[in-house]
Amino acid sequence: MNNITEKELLQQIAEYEFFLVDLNLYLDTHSSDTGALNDYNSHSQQLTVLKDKYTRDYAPLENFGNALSLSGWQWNDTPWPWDL
Amino acid sequence: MWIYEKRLLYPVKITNPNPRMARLLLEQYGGSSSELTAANTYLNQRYTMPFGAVRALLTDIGTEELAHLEMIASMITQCLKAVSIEQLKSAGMDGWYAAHRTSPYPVNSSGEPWTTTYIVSSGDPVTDLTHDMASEQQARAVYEGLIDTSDDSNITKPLQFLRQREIVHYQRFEEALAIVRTELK
Repeated sequence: MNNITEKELLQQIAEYEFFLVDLNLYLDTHSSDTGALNDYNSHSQQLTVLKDKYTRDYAPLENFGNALSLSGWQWNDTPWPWDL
Repeated sequence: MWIYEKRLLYPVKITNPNPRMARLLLEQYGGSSSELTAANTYLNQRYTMPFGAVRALLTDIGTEELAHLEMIASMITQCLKAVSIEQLKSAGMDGWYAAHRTSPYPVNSSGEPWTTTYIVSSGDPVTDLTHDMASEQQARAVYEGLIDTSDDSNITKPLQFLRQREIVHYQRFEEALAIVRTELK
């Protein structure tokens, strides 16, 4: 995962997270599907790796202490997702 | 409680201003079948829902609907960005500009305010879930109508995504209703 650009990293985060949102809803109504559960956990682990890398190399993606702010207080001025 | 993630669930990048479309998109921002209605409905219904699976589903879909609302707000804002007064006037959006500049506001495409009466929360699991299934179909139909009105793929792609999510939500609510019926036997 070394030569990945910021845009590519965000794209991977987007894909993993959407997959997990969808799988989360499925597991809510299929809670005994162990295959789906294993899928959820393995993707969730990888999402954590991706987000930790994003936080270290760029900026926190989450507030309220769910991500570190390692280059000063970055939350205010990093791009807001509705801006072009 | 809610944590905020500084990303959109699905990308929105509308580079061609479109005040007419901004007005139409209000239907899903503050209309009867809007994401605002969906989020408020499901998050309200979950408190007394008797079954954990259905509380989970209402919480999770309700949360996803807030992410959808954010996408619609982003689309409206981008459609109004860098629009000239002439373009606003042709689209009948000069009044909007006076009241709101380029901000979204929770009204429908006819300018009618969002209202709590759009929400059904009876406290009866079968009633609520049956209503929720119908709501998802209503929202799907509105998205199809909106998609028909645009030939800008920057607009239709996020709308197609949102339409597809309504179909999935419908399926999940149908499963939840089956769970409730089994549990109630």
